[in-house]
Amino acid sequence: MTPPDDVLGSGRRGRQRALVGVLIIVATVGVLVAVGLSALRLGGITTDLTSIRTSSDTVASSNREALLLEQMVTALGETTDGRAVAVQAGLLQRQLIVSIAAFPPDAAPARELRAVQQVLAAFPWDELPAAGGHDDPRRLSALDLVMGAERRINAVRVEQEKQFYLATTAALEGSRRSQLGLSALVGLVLALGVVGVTVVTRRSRSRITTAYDALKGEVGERRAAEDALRASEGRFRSLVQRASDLTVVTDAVGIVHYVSPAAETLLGYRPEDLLHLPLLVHVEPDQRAGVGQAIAFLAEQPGLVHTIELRLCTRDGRVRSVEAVCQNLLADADVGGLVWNGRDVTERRALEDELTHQAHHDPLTGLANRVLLLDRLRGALAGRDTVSVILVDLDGFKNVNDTLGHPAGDELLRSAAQRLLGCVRPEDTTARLGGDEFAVVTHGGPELAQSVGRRIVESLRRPFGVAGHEVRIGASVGVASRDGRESAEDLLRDADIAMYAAKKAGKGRVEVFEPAMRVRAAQRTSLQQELARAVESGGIEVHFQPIVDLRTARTTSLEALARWRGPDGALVPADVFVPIAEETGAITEIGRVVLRQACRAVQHWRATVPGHGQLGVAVNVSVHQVLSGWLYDDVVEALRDSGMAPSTLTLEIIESTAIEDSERVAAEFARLQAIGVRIAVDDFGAGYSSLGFLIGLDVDTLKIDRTILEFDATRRGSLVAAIAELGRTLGLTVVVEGVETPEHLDWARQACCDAAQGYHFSRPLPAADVPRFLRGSGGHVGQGGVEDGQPAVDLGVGGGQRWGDAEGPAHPR
Amino acid sequence: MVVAAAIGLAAAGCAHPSPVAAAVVVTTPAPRAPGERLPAPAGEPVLTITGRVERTNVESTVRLDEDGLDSLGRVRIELYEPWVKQRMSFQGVWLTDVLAATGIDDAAAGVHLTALDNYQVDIPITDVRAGGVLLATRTGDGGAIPIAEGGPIRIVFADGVASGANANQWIWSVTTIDVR
Repeated sequence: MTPPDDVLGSGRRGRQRALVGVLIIVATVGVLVAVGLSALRLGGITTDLTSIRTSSDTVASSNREALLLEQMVTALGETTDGRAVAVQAGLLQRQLIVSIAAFPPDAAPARELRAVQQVLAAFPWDELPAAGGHDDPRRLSALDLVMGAERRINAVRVEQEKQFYLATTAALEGSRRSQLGLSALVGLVLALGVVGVTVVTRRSRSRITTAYDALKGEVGERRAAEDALRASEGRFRSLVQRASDLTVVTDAVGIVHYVSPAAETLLGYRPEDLLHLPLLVHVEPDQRAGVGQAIAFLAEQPGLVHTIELRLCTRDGRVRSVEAVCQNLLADADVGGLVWNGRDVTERRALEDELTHQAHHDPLTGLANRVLLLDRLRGALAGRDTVSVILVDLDGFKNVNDTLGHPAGDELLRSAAQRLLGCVRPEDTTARLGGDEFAVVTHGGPELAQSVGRRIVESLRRPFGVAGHEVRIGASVGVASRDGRESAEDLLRDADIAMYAAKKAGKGRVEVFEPAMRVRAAQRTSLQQELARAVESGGIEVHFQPIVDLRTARTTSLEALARWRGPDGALVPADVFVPIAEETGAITEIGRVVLRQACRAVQHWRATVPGHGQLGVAVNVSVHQVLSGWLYDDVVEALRDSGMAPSTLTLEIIESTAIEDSERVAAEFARLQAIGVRIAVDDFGAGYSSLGFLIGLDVDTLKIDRTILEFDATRRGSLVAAIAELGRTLGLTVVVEGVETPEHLDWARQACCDAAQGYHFSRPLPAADVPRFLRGSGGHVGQGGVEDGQPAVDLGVGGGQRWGDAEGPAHPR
Repeated sequence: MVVAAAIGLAAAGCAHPSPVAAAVVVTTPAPRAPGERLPAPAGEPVLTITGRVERTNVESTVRLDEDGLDSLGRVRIELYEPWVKQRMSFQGVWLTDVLAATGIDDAAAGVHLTALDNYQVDIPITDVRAGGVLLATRTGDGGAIPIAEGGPIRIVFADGVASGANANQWIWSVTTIDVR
């Protein structure tokens, strides 16, 4: 076979062959040894597992017997079948004895079970038949005993189950490892390319597989045997709709005869743990009576379908909500029981509860909301208790919101809510009604509520730390007590009225509701409604007061002033209706009306009254208008509507009010100035007279408040001169207000003011009278008088000259 | 007693050729003739036999009290109890004797036994006929078997009986035997 010239080569091959042969033999022997060891080990594992499984099974049976005994003793009050209890106690003991024998005598489970068995054996079960009613001490002690025994047996059972699974896992892991090792050997043999070894390996593998199958078969058989014990469960299979649904079949008195496997995931009990026990055992105690009645009712109505939400206790002590559809199929030959198809709705129920919570609580503060507050209030009013409502409104909250932003405002509200909770008793209901308004419902009279209110005011007065700032706010509190009122809404409304009174009386106060407040509130409400109607129906008039150039003595501009002619034809004072208009928001609409009417009228006069082609107009704007965001659009619209040049229009703002949010005000004014509109600071010298404000706003005109002239009576105009000098220094046009006498006029001239206005020239005139004034006097006021030559007091507007007067010195904001 | 034992041994030898003979002591002879009428229960019945039986004593079933069971021929045997893992003695009636007393249908394939706790097993008729299956009614010293020890009636298998190797067949607290 081998060519002669390959002798050396064949010698090498011979050695190689010998080496391969040795390797094959080694590998083959290795494989055989490994297979042998593997088989031995598998045999050992099977024996071990069988033994663990057996002991585990016997403990599980003991546990089941204990549960049955527990149930029988529980039901003894109804059944009075003491003999059955004694029999069951015997069966339990038998099972315990068997369980004990399944362990080595000194093993921990054996000792524990023996202890349980001895305790059970010592109890006089034979005397139980005589133990009648629920309260019989013998029955109760039996129950205690059995429950204790069941707990202990269960603990052993759980431990055994754990051991079994640990052992199984370890055994399988070991087998897997040995098989891996075997595979490596086989790989080596294959690498040598020896078919015979491959054959051996295959045989080895098949032996291992067989051993595995034997193990599996062993376990499977046990499972099958257990399954068979669960009496004829198969016939109910058709009733099980979904694997995740719990299906339970009970008899007419609620003893469980079948449970679907879902019980294990849902309740943590293996289905066989639930068998032969009343369903009620697993129902939450509070619900047992109700479910018991439902079962009794259902059992009497063949074919009846009934839906009930069961709250079932799980093995680990939680409660799950199961929505069960129960059908009476007692008459059905295939079923012969009550069939419960249950779906776990715990999450859904939790979600619903959450939604209910959300519907009744303020998400920001977690306090109750108006709905819940009214609900609680109604509940309280349904009883006979004294009930009070404490309404709390934060003072100065808006300022924080505007200057520090909404997140800071929210933080402040949350902190305020916490402080509120600290002022009330746990049984009181504290709610956030919306915005910066809170309410507390408390059981107690007005005195108690008032003292709580004072606590709240004190508590909220302390500084808050918000967004890194120290913030101070206040609170106004209104209190209303039951006092014969039976409507929650009425009580809340009256507390609101009292709160408003507290606010009017100077904030940071607590007011208790009095009937007179309601009258005033009603007046206010009717005024609000009338004002709203007036705004709609054109009841707002614009009057004009001339502004006179002191160098030329000509009327160069007119200040537009809002007037409300009330239902009775009389003019309503501006300081009465302006605050109301600001509260209701009507101020924006009124401002819009005044702006449009003033622009139209002045543009008309510029065109029609000779010599007044350059006539200007000054219109007061409220800070509400500025911050409303509508001002710019309103101005543009008024200018477009009238065709008037923007430079003709001056907007007057009172400096004291603008401080609330100077940045936004400045931004709005900058937009307006960009299109040519002029800005004046009104009533300077009456409020805070902030120089920073003057510079910051970059205004065009400074109007010196009328009170400066009055104040100057003893100073001969020196103050006016000083302020006018200030204005000029800043490059502003200076207008002095309240020139009522020739003396005032002299001071104004000496102070070198650019212009002046006041009764000395003219009181505010209805639009119809303006052309006559402009023509008649030619706008010249050099002679020091108008019409009747005397400064007249405008009685129709009381103390207020402009509709913005309420924002003037008498009522600084 | 010697006579009784001798007869018993002879009887046992006939019914159970091996391997149980050595352990068996007959305490009361099997006095019954084939086809003899079953005794009516005087006391409370402890066992009910139903199904394919030829003779009955209460309506269509057989009900036996303690005396009734004793009258079927009582033996005493010692054996290894696999559940408590001990050697124990019991007195009782061979299951073959019980079935001989009631007579069974030729078509019967096995007996289905039910316990107080609803545990159930089937013993094929061939295993019953192979012998060594005892319906134990008393402890070795003749007292009643407490429930705690598997009483009042339980099935035990004599040492070496093949069907007794499976401990699950050792049903205790038996209440009914249904011949199927």
